[in-house]
Amino acid sequence: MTLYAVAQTGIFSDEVTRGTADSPTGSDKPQTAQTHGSITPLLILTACAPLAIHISSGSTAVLAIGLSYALLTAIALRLLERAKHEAENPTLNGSVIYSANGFLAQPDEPAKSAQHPVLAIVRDVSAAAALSTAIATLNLESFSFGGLTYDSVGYHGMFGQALWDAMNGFGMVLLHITMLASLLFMVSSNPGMVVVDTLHASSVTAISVMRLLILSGGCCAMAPHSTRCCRSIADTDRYRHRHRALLPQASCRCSRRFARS
Amino acid sequence: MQSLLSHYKHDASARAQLGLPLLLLLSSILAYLGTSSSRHSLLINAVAWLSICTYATSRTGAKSLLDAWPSQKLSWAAGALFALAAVEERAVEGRGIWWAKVTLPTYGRLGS
Repeated sequence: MTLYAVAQTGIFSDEVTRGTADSPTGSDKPQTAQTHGSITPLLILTACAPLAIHISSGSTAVLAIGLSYALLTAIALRLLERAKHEAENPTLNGSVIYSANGFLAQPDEPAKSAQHPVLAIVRDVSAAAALSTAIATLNLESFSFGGLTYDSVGYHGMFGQALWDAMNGFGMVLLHITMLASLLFMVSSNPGMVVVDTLHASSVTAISVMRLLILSGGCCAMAPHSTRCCRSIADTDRYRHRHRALLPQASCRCSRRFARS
Repeated sequence: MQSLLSHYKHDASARAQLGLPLLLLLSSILAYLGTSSSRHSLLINAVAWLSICTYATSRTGAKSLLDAWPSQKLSWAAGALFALAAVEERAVEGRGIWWAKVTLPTYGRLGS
């Protein structure tokens, strides 16, 4: 059903028409975006995901949080698009002030922000997100990095683990920077929101497939002694114990060590 | 007849339209794989947003919040919503929220 919906939805056939400066008519009409395709297969595809997760997990809380998450993200992306439109057309935003003598007076935008409207939007979005996420981090996450104390057998082991954790964390931060920046620039440069959403959905589908592969122990067959393998096995055991899910047994020698401990 | 500059601009935009989605796809896969086992996704998100903010501020300069333009207010609202979504993603960590992201195209389509 999913394959049928993807094939029929037409979300990959977005057609974007723009009135550019070097067009034959040379008109200065605002940019317009048109999307083609039926919405019915898209609705089928969308309805399948919550239904599938509700049947498999049976948790209403997860369903509600997931739908709320998707709604918030969609509204945020839409607001981002509107902010970019407002920044490019400052006269349309209703901030024009009429002075006493009848002339128009507008507050001055800083020169640098006017030169880089997209970067100014990225600055504001990231500032708000950083502030909110930092507050949430202080309230919700503890700072006792588990790997540092859990695997600390000796000084060398602790130092090596700390170094590995620091490098891993730095790499993850870099990856998140790349991901978030590319998402922001994509929304700012492409008028078609459907393209962004489609890419987002396709990326998480690929992610879920890879996560299933990892949970089934595919990577452990290649590197059975790796720390990553042991961690994933430990997570799998914890997950199975907590949710009583029927996950495939992973073939890893480290699982015996974890079973003993 | 199109000028050489317009040809160059067209090529650059085409490359950006292809490169950015690929970059997003690869980085989101690797970021998800890297942070799915750890319990510090909010902290990593905060540091990443802060880094992007620092770079953008260094390029465009800081601006007072008192005389905010509508675009700035919209951007702040979008950022707060992104953070709220990250908190929700953190809340169901371990059970997966990939299926909710699949519903994003419909939200985007209905909103347009």
